[in-house]
Amino acid sequence: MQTYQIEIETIEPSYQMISVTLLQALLWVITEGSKGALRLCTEGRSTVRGAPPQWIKHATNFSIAFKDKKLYIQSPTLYEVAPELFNQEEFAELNSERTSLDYFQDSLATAVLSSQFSQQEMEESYMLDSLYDKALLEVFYGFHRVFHQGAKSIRFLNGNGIQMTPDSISTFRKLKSVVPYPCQIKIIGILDSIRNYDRTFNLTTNARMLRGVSKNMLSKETQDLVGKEVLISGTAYFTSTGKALRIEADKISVPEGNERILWEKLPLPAIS
Amino acid sequence: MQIYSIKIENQSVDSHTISVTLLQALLSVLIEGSKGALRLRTEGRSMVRGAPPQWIKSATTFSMAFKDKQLQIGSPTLYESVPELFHENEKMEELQPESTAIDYFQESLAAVLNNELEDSLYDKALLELLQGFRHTFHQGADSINFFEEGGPEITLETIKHFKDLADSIPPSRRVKMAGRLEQVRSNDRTFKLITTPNNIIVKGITQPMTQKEVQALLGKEVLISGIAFYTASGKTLRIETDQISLANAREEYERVIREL
Repeated sequence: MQTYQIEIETIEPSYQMISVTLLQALLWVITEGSKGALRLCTEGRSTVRGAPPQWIKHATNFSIAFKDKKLYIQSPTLYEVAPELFNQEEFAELNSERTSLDYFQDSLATAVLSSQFSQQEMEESYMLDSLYDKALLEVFYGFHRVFHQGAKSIRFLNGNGIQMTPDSISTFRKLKSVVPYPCQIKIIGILDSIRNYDRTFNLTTNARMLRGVSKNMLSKETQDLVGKEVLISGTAYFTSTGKALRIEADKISVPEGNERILWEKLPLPAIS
Repeated sequence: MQIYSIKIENQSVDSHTISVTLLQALLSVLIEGSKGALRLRTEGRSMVRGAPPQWIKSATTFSMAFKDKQLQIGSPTLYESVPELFHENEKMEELQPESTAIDYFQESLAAVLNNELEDSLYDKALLELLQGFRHTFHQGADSINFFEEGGPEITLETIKHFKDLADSIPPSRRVKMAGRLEQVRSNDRTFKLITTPNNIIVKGITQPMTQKEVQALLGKEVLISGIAFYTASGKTLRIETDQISLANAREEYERVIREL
């Protein structure tokens, strides 16, 4: 269990009590944002219709206390909530000693500080803008309700010490507006690995690794394709700098004839 | 501002922190229940589709702290949050300016828990809302007490009582009622009717009416038709009217009796 401190500056100074509506708005962003950040790490998407997997719900079961203008949040580590997943090494993307709040803070800090990175830095680093997607930015945008309820600033005292102010909201709005629209694609690559647990896969194409999620259950035939060249048909989703974030695959098949030449490159995203 | 303590018994060994999901479930019942209890006092119904009036939102803007397994809730008095409610013009005489939304919630909750005869303090929608306490028990609470030491507490078994009481409320039905129209309040369209012949005060809600239409009916003998909603003991809680027309109340009453 880890404890985090969040300092809340409000218009009405009260050291021992907090507005219920402000707290509800803040907890909504933190809980949904933590779920989204975890899911983004494992599936390349922060939100999917339907209830999240049970382990994500457990990982975002927080306890809180409030004292001296500080919100204390206790969060279990990922290993504490789902040891079986980490014993089986299901999630190589995650560090089992970390908590969902650590991943939330990583994503939040990257989005808030995005304006401080140069365009070149953003384009060269896959990591930077793959820590948030459009849906997660929408959740971060929920901070505007926290500020409407009387907060002046929210400072996360652990980790990277990120501070949120009403100005941060415009950063989220701007980032949301530059994320390209998803588009239909076909792409050839080597199917490196698949994970049945959440239907995710890795594809190497043009010496780059792409992450994907299959819309359908992965069949025995598909599993036999690991290590082989495949043709993926589906929808590509992009980061705010236009890099491919994930592919949602409708179909994974063995390429035929001239398909290798036709679909060897990912198309450029349409700018939204 | 008044401070209320809500005692939460649970398995947790840490008495200074509270589970977020438990807190969210409890606050949801407390906030929506307080809105419902206030609305029930003024309109005779705890819930209506759509956003509640602004004054109800302001009156249920609470603050909180948590210490020693007790949730402290700060609630403004009605006068502090919405002084305009008590201006002479359009005054809400059912409400006390020094009371808070939580006072009305507690009063309704006590009436439900103690099986009090004053069953107009809750309606079906409020009882359904109170059943939301079950989420707090699913999130680890063993019991919740809104009252002073020794007061009735809410446990998982209490949920069945809420459900049974809700099931015992007679279904709404279409009625016609004759009487004298005593009061029509423009801000929430509520009215009072003194029935003929037994002089009982019945609360109701009208369709939108112009000031001129109200003036033509006020203090006169009228016939109203609409849907009647009842309390658990079968008393009329309110009538949601679709028509109010001038009529000789005595004649109308006798005509209906003859038809019956």
